[in-house]
Parts: sequence; C-alpha cells; structure tokens
Amino acid sequence: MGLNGGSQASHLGKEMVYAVGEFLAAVCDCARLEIRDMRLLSGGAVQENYALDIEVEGGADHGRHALVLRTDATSRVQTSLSRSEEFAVLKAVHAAGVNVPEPLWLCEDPSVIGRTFFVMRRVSGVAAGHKLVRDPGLETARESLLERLGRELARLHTIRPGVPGLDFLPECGYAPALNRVNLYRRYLDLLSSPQPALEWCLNWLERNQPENVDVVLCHSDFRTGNYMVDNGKLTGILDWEFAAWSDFHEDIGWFCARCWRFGRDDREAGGMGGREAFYRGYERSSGSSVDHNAVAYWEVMAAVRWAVIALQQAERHLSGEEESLELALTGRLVPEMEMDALMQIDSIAGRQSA
Amino acid sequence: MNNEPDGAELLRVAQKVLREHLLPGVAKQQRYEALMVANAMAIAARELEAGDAGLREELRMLTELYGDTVVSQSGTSVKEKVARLNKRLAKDIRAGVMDGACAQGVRALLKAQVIGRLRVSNPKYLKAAGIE
Repeated sequence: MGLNGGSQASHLGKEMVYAVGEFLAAVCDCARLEIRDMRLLSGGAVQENYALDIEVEGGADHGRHALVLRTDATSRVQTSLSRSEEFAVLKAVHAAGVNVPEPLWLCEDPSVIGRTFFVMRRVSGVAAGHKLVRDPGLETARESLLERLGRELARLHTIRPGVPGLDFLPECGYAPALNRVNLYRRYLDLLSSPQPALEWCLNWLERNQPENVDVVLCHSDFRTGNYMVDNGKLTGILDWEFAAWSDFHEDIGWFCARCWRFGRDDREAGGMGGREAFYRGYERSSGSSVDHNAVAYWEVMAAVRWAVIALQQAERHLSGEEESLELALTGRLVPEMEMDALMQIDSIAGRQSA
Repeated sequence: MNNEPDGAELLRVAQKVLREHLLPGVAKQQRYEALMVANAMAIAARELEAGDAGLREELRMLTELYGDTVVSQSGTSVKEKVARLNKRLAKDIRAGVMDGACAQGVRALLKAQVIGRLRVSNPKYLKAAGIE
C-alpha cells in the first residue's frame, strides 16, 4: 500500500489531503493510491463538499474514481442529521434502489481531518434550480424527468419504520403533521419578533391534519435544486441531511410548493412542469394514489416551514452571529411565504365548500 | 429642514445607476451579490417612501380589534404600540382565543399586514398574484 498526495491538490491544506489519502489507502483494496485532485465545491453553508479524484493501483478498486467527500462546515448548525447519520440514510436509500450517489466510506475518527466525513461517488450534471427551470435544452426532457423523479420518490417511500440501521431517526407516531406544527412553534418561540400570521397558519395546520397517514422515510428537502440532471437525465438525488419519518405527502407538497418553483409559478411541479407527470410516475411506481387534498395541506406546511427557516436565517444576521446581506434579505422573503400559506388555505377552503 | 433630494430619492436613483450602468460590467461571479445590493436598496427606498403610513394603518386595524383602552395602554409611539399589540396578537392566536366572533376580523387584519409588508419587500409578488 503506497500513497501519493498529488501536486494538483496543493491549494488545500496539505495535511488534510494527505490524511484523506491515507484513510482511503487503508479502506481501498489497493497496492497504491494517489489523490489526483481535491477541491472545495461551492454551495452549502452547513456542509462542505470536496470533489475528489483518486487513482488506485491494484486490487478490486483498481482505476480512477471521481468522488465527493462530505463533511461539516466549521460553523455548523445542529438542526439536521450528523454526517454519520446521513451516511446511514444514504446507504439505506441506495440499497432500496433510489438514484443517489453511491455511499462508499465513512470516517468517524476525529484524528484524520478533525471532523467526521464520508465519501461517495460523484455524479455529474447541474443541480442549480434557477438553471434547470430555464435551460431551453431541457424543454423536451422535463416531462420524463418529472415522471422519473416521481418514481424515485416512490421507491424512497418503500422504506418504512423498523428498517435496520435507521434507529437514530426520531419516531414520529401517527401524527407527523402535529410534530411539525409543534417544532415550528418551538422555533418561533426562540425568535425575537412575534409572527401572528404564521401562528394563525399553524393553528389551521393543527386543526386540518390529514387522516389515515402513511408514515414512510421522507427526504424532507426533496425539491428542484437538490437533484442532479445531466443531459436531461436524472443522475442523483442529493442532500439527505433532513431525512425523517413522515407522511409521504410531505415530500410531494414540498416539491410542488410555490416557493420551490424558481420563478416558474405556472409549472407547479418544482418549476419543471405540470403535476401530472410527477404524480403519474409516483403512482405507477408505488401503486398507491396521491391524495390531492393531503398534498395541498402539505403545501401550506411547506410555506410555513420556509418562512420559519427564513426567519431563523435573518436572525443569524440580526443577532450579529453572521453579518450577511443574503441572510438579511432572506428575512424579507417571509411575507411571500405567509401570503402563499394564506392563499393556499383559502383555496383549500374554497375547494371544500364547492 | 429642507434636505432634498431625500433619502428615498437618493436610494432610488443610486439603485438605477447600479442596475443600468454598473451591473453590465460586473464580473459574473459578483453578479449575484450586486443584484442583492440593488434589491436591498430598492426595498429600503420603498420603505422610506412609504413612511409610517403602513404602521398607522396597522395600528388602526389593531385598535379595531382590541379597542381604544388596550391600545392606549400599549406604549407611547405608534411603533411601540404596534410591536406590543402584535406580540399580544401572536400570543392570543396561539392560545386559541381569536377563534370566536373575531376570527374573520383577525384573518382580514393578518392578510392586510402581510400585503403591507409585501408592498415594501416585493410588490411584484402582489401583481403576479393578482392582488394589486
């Protein structure tokens, strides 16, 4: 087993690159391993992702590999899964056949780079939502892409409580919506400014919870921007740090909510197209039908959730923790989400009385 | 005091210069940040221009809901009154005490508050939604 730190990676901390190389050389079946490149990828305030190119000589892993190393950013917020937990989720969903970057190795030894990290295969393509909804090259591909996303989501939702390896996920009982309502109320209590409109929406959400809930493993941030597309084809669903047991309609509502259409409000399925193809893919794969009223309910929840997150981000700026124009402006998005929620509640009420 | 052009006008014209003359020359990597600066300036300009009209309208609606006595006991300035009454309103909604006869009024008040904030933060949203 030999190791070469590689010259192209020198712009990162040499010690870090060397430590990662040593770790990989130990876990790979190889005679020699070289890190050809390692660079920090943009995006992700909470996680750091490094593109990692390695070359392995000898053994079962012989050849070149394009990988991603994912670790916590130094300033991390403790509201989502740890990297070890996210790795476990990624393994479970990969085993279930969901299209995700293949998880390879987890390193929990803090002596290696100081933080837990895992390594997965790198998938190619574009994830940025504003690009995907505007790319004219995707015009003919969006319909089949949506159907595929529906199928992938249905496959994820075959994972149910009790599956081994995911015991760390909090139980959700039979009232996932109420859990969310209680959580967002606790978050609001930590903020300095009162939010009467959101309180009103939360009351509505408490009183109008869907019945006969089917609890499955949800991604909980399944939306345009969190999946990768290359040449019109889905190459992988990303960012599993919010995975949780919940009503499967939560993922569908989050995907379709107006706040995740990147300005293409007319395309109700993630700014990419109509709901039909997305629902069709989901229903054909799962064999169960999408309850449109439940999705409408979870879209109210989505708007409230985004509003609460936006308030938390603005608070980070206001409290002096992190001065940032982006965080400050995020606070000014809140009334859009409030209006989304209020109008969505109106439209549900209109549908019920019709 | 005559200090013209006023702050709102300065922000408005500065934002226009930024968008029309400077942005085309901004490097691609800095474009997003420059757009954020322009957006922040536009919001601040609209806020200055609106003055305290929105706040006074909010106080009028809160007074309709809670009555003159409660309002007069809720601080001195318009800003302080609105802040305190909103705190009480949020609490009352959570406690479920706004569900009876006043439910419709509360609902209308909340919607008006949100629309008022959108007029400053994102008037385009109101147009797109067909509200204004």
